[in-house]
Parts: sequence; structure tokens; C-alpha cells
Amino acid sequence: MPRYVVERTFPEGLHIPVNSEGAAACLGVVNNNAVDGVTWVHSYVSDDHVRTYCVYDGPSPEAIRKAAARSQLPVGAITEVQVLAPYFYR
Amino acid sequence: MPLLERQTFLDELARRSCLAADAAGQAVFVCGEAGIGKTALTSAFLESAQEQFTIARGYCDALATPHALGPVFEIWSQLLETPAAGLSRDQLFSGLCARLQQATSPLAILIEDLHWADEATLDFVRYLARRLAHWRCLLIATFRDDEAGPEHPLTRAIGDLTGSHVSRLKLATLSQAAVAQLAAAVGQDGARVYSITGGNAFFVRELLSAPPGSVPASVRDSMLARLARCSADARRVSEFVALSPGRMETALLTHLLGPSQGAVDECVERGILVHERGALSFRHELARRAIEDALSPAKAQERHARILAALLDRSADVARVVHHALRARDEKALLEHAPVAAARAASVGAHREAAAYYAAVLEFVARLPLSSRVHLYEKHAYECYLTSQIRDAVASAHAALDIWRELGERQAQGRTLRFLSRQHWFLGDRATAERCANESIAMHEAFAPDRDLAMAYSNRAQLEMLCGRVSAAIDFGERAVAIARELGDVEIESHALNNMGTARLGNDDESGRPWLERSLELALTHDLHEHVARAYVNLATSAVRSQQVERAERYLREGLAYCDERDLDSWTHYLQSYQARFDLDRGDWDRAAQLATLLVDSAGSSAISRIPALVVLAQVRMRRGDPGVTQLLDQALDAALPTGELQRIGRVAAARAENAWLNGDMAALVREADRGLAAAQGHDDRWMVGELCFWKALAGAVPQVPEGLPAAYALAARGDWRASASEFVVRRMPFEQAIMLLAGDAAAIAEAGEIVERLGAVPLRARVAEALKNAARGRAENPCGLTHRELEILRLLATGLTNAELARKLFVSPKTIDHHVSAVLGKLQVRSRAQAVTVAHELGLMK
Repeated sequence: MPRYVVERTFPEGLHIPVNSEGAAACLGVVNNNAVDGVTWVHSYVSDDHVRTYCVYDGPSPEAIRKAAARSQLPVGAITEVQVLAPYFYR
Repeated sequence: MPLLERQTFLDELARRSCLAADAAGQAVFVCGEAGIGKTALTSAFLESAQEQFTIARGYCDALATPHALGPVFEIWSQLLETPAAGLSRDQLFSGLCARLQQATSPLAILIEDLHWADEATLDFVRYLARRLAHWRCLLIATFRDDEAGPEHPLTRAIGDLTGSHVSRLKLATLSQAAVAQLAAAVGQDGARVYSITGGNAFFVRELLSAPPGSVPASVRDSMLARLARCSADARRVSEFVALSPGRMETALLTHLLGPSQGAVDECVERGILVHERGALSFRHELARRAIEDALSPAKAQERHARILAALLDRSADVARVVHHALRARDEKALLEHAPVAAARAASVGAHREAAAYYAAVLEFVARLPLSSRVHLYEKHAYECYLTSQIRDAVASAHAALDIWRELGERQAQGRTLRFLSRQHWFLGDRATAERCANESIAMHEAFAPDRDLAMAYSNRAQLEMLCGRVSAAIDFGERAVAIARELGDVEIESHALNNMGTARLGNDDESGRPWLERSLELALTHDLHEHVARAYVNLATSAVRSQQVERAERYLREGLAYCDERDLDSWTHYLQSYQARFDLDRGDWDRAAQLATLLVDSAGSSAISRIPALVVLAQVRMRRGDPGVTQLLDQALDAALPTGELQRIGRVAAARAENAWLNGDMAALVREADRGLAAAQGHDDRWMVGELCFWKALAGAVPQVPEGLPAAYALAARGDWRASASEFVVRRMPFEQAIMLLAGDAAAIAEAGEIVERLGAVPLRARVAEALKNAARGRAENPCGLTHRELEILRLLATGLTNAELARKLFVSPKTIDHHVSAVLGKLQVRSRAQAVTVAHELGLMK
């Protein structure tokens, strides 16, 4: 299954409360993703909460977009990536 | 042995059975490797459900060639009073479905071992699964997914069944913990059992009930160990039963071996055989195969012969007879029974099986007189054609042709030649296809005009149409129509009118439309399914290609509805591939991608449907800037080139050219577009040529715009952005419209920007921004009315490059550079390049 980095922009800033409401929101995204066979690995969020870089596993870019629409998340650029870590080549 | 680690599956089956009982029918496919416990699961479930459900069971057997519709007949007899004998396939299917649809209390249907099913049974499963969503019906089918790869008929039959009422349960092997639990119950070492069996449920059970002291390393070892402990009589019984796939009736066994009750009892006691419903069988196919495989070939052949003799005495089913005749290598029996089995299979639509039966006979066909031989060859060829085994069809047809020649039967030769003409076309051998077509006509013309001659003419018309030779297509088409009308043969008339109409429409000649529509009308009135499908396809595809939006919408909608209702799957797929392209052109990219993905992923679609689907999906991705474009375009090219057909190659070339443009690689753009244009030579496809020139023009590589291109493309190639954009609006092609607007003034660029946002065409955003910037700067800094290209060249003139070097640098021809340089000199009103550079410096144009 390919891995993608999805760039998103939240003009109002992405603010997920650190409580049960926030947890429910995240799990809601996870459930929505499952419908399209997409897995949210984790995300990197800019300091001002306006830009995020989300790492996803999914079958195709179309599935990523469908899943995003289900959770009403914006989609900027989608890039297919391979993981590279400092100690891969030993 | 209790059922372990299956609770989730049992719960899921229970849940779905509740839905089914509530008139929300379900189709559940249970799969897993051999011996994993599919039957155990379904049996356990059905036992719990038998209070609520009426249950009907059908089984597929591992016969050399399965009994066509065997399981369906079994199920019929359990659910309906009227006998099924003598019913046509359609009557069987609709009769069973009517019973299911009208049921007031819930029904469960179980079909086991679908991987051994014949083609007609697979058709039935598919037919039922697509219709039962609102019935009180639960369909459970089991199969071995390790035996059914992507090309297997089963995968193609059920692979693209969709809907929430369809589900697949894949069973896994038992875990170590489960095996340990079972082993502990009989005092054995769970870890050891697990390491030998890998958790395969049947093997575990087999191992745990093996005679003490034995150390079997496989099911085979285990079975052979049991056999070794048997008396000679019991061994003989086991071996005979092992040679009979599925089960062997005790009566048959008695017939073969005389009274054997003692031996049978011993087999049952030793856990080798199971005795139920008057027949003997093994507990699992794996066990049966183990014993069958252990027999020496000579012994097996001799025993098959004895079983065969017994079956013939008892007038057994012809599928079983043929199975044993093949293994006994009994020519006489095969020659007598296989053709019967084949004809029966063909009559119910089990064409794969029919072809296999005929193939089995052909080995011994030299013993038959010529007149019988030739019919077998012909039937084999026809069944192979129906199942897309074209090379085999050609081989047999040629054999038949030789015999007809020897027998001096010219009409028959003519018919065979016409058949060969079609087959060679499918193989891509156009030259031979044409030669056969001509010979066929010559044969038939020696006789009074009849159906055969009409068909030969129509066949030739079709060939000419496919090659784009319009007047020849019409000439032969008219001859066919004349004879067909005299004979009152509607089918041939419809076929010929279709060829003629498509020939003209494919050439953008609207006068062909009435013919095609008449062909459709005739076919609809007389319920000629395939002809209706072909007419819709030709009407829809020509409308899509020539961007006639309302027409395309209508034909696609009607055509898809018609084909879907009648399970005309290959036509449906082809129409869907054009629907995807239609959606792409209208800017409906989500829908286009969805349909294209379905076609690309579906194992059942043929090359002609997959190639356009690959292209559409690639185009959606490249227009959005999404990844995964290159592999799709490469796959499409690899599939298209061998066809040699402009339709496929041109389409792929245009998409690859577009991709190159989006990546800014002008050299690649020209290369790809030229590949498409080369394929278009000798054809008259102005839309394809227009599309390819559109992209080339964006690279400035169309110095001379060809005559006769469709308006939108011609205007674009000439650089008239405004008129071309308006044309694209009329054609409802927003993406192309936006590209044209980008070359316009600030207002146009702004409009392009809006379209880009609406479509989500991310890669064009940068171009919009650049164009806006240039427009703004241009107004202030470009008093001489130089175009961007001219400004670019003016700036490069200062570097002192020659025209040839400039041409290479900008990937255009030296002539184009000449043209631009003259324009620059003219606009700046100077006479030399040096002067131009000086003026440019003065005006502050050099950056």
C-alpha cells in the first residue's frame, strides 16, 4: 500500500481540544478513513496551526481525497513517499 | 471437534441472515485454503439457522469437466415441485429467482466449492447475487481462494460484485492457542501438531485422530498410514471411492466389487470414509486426493475403466461418464459421450466446459469419418471463440476448412472462411482477416444469393469499417442489406446497417446516423441483445469522441441501462470506459476517477475497456497534480501499441503529450504527439488529429495547421485563444477552455483562475499566477505589443545565439524562430538584430 504525505491548509487554524471531544474527533476521522481503506499514520502541524503535513497509507490518491471529503478536511498537495531513516544503510 | 476461532464469522453470518430474513437479501462468499474449515463453518451456521430458514444445498465436484449447472439443478429440486429437466437456461434462472423473490419465509442457498463450478453455474451465482438485495434470501457460497487466481473464471464472475449486500469472509488458519487447546483435549503436544499442520483445521483434526504411534508429516502420509492398517478389501474400497470425485453411491460400489458391507464398515470405523445419504465419500477432498495420487497410473486407469463400465450400465450422468472415460483413455466411450456432454453444456451456456469436452474428443478424432470429424472441429472452434480462446478456435477452424475442401462443400467452406476472418481480426492479423473475407464472398457468390452471402458481405463491411474505409464499407453493407431485406432477415440487416452507419459517423459524417439508429430500432424491436448493445456502443462512442454532449449523455445512459439489465458485461464495461472519458472532459473528475478505478481494478474487463480507463485515471491525476501517473501511462502504452489501432494509440499519445506539457517537457510532448499523429496517418480522424495538434501547438510546434480540424482545435492551433475558448465552452470542456484563457488578457486569465480553482487543477495554479504577473508587467513594460514568445526571443537575441541554436534551445523549428524574429523586428521597427537589442535596452525590456 503506498504512503502519501498530504498537505493541508486551515486558514482559521486547526484547533483540536485536548479532551474527550478532541479524541472523539480524531477517532471519527479514523473511522471515516476505514471506509475507503485509508489509514492515518500521523501528522505534523505548523506552529500557527495553519499548515499540516499528514502521513497516510492508502490504496490511491482518489481514496485519500474521498476519505478527506468524508471528514470534511481540505486537501492541498498529495505526494507519494518512501520512508528514509538515518540508519537504513548500515 | 468443536469449532474454534470462528465466532466472529458465525456472528457475521447470523447478522446477515437477520438482514436476509427481513427482505434485505445477502450474498456471502466464504473463502480460504483447502482444509481450512469452510464446510465446517457453513454447516455449523446452517444448523443454527434451520429453524428459521428453508435450506437448499448445491455442490460442485472436482470432475475433469464439471456437470453444467449441476448445483443449480440440485437446488431447484429442493425448492420447486416442477421437474427441471428440459428447461432452458433462461427458464431455470428466472424460475429459481421467481421462487426466491416471492418467498414469504426466508430461504438459504448454499453452494460449495465454487472453484470447481462450470461457467453456467458461475453465471447463475452472479445473476442471483446481483438481484437478491431485496429478497428474503441468503446465498452462501464457498470456494478456495488459493485455487482461484485473477484469471480464474470464478474471480472474473464475482470479482466485481459490489453493494453492501455482498460480503466476503476469508477464513484464517487456527492459531497456536487453538491448536494447543484441541491437542490437549486428546493428550497430544499442541506445539508439535501446530508445526506440522500450520493450523490447517482439517489437517489438525486428521492428525489428532491418526492411529497412535504414527508420525505423519502431511495429510497424505496420514491417509496412507490409515490405509496401511486396513484389510485388503477395505483398501480396495477406499481406492475405488477415491477415484470418484465427490462421492460414490454404495449401489455403484456393490455393482463393482460385489457385496462389501464389511469392508465399507471397516473404512468408516478407521475414519477413512464417511457414509451418508446412500453414498460414500472422504471427509475432505484433500484426503481423497492423497489416496488417488498414491495409485499407480496403470492401476488407476484399469479401475477407471471398471467404474466407467459400471456407470454405463447404470446410465449415469454423462459428465461423470466422460470424467472416467478420459482417465481410462477409453476412446470409444469418449467419442460417444463427450460430444453429448459438450452439446448439453453449450445449451446452458457453460461454454468453457463445452470447449473442454470437444477438446478431449479431438485427440481421438482420426478414428471418425470425415463428416463427423468436421462437425466436431467446427463446434470446438465456435466454443473456443465464445470463451476467447481464439488461437484454438483458429486451429480447429482451419482443420474443418481442410475437410470441407476435401469433401467439396463450397458453401460450408464459405461459412468457415467467414468465421476465420473474424478470428484473425481478433488476433490482430488484419491481412489474413481480409483474405478470408474475400475468399468467403467468392465461395458464396457462386450460388444464388442467400443468408450466407449476406453475412459474408456484412462481415466484409465490418472489416472495412474498422479500417476506416468508408465507401467500401457502404458498398458491401448495401449489398448485404439488399439480400437481407429480400429474405426478411432482420438480424443481418441490423448488423449491416450498423457497419455502414458507424463507418460514416466515425468519419464525422452525420448522414450515417439514420442507419445506425435504424439498426438500433430493428434490434430493439426484435430483442437482438448483442446487436442492440453494439448499436448503442457505436452511437455513444462516436458522440463522446466528437464532443456532442447531449447525444453522448443520452446514448451512454440508455446503453448502460440496457446492457446492465441483461448482464451484457463486456459491452457494459466498454460503455463505462467511455462514460469515464465523458466525465473527464466535462470536468467531473471525481466521477471519472471512480469509474476508471473500477474498470482498472476489475479482473473481468478486457484490454479495450482497460486502456481508456487507465488513460482517464492518469489524466485525472495529472490534472490534479496527484501521484501515480507515470505507471498508468506506461501500462496504457504497453497495452495499446500491440493493437496497432488508432483509437487506442492516439488516446494514449494525447494523454502522454498532455502530461509532458504539464511537466514543462516540450521535447517529450512533441515526441508523444508525433507518435499519435503517425498512427493517425491514412485515417480520417479529425478529432484525434485535432487533439494531438492542440498539445503540439502549446509547444509552438505546429507551424502549419492542417485543414479540416474541428473548430476548437483549429482555432487553438492558430493561436486564437478567445475564439477557441468560446468553442470549448460550447463543447463543455472546461480544462481546455482554461488553458486557452491563460494565453489571453488579464480578464481571461482571471477567468482561467476561477476555473482552475473550481476543477482543482492544482498544477495550473502556478501558470495562472505567472500569466497574471506577466499580463500586469506586460501592460506596463511592453509598449510595442510584443507577445511573450517574442519578448523571450528578443531577450535571447542579446546572447548572440544563431537561429539554429535558439531553435534547439526552445524546442521549435528554425523556421519558427525566423518567423518570430521578423515579427520582433517589425514591431520594434528596426532592421537588424543588433538594433533590436539596442532598442530593447533603451526601452528597459532586457531583464
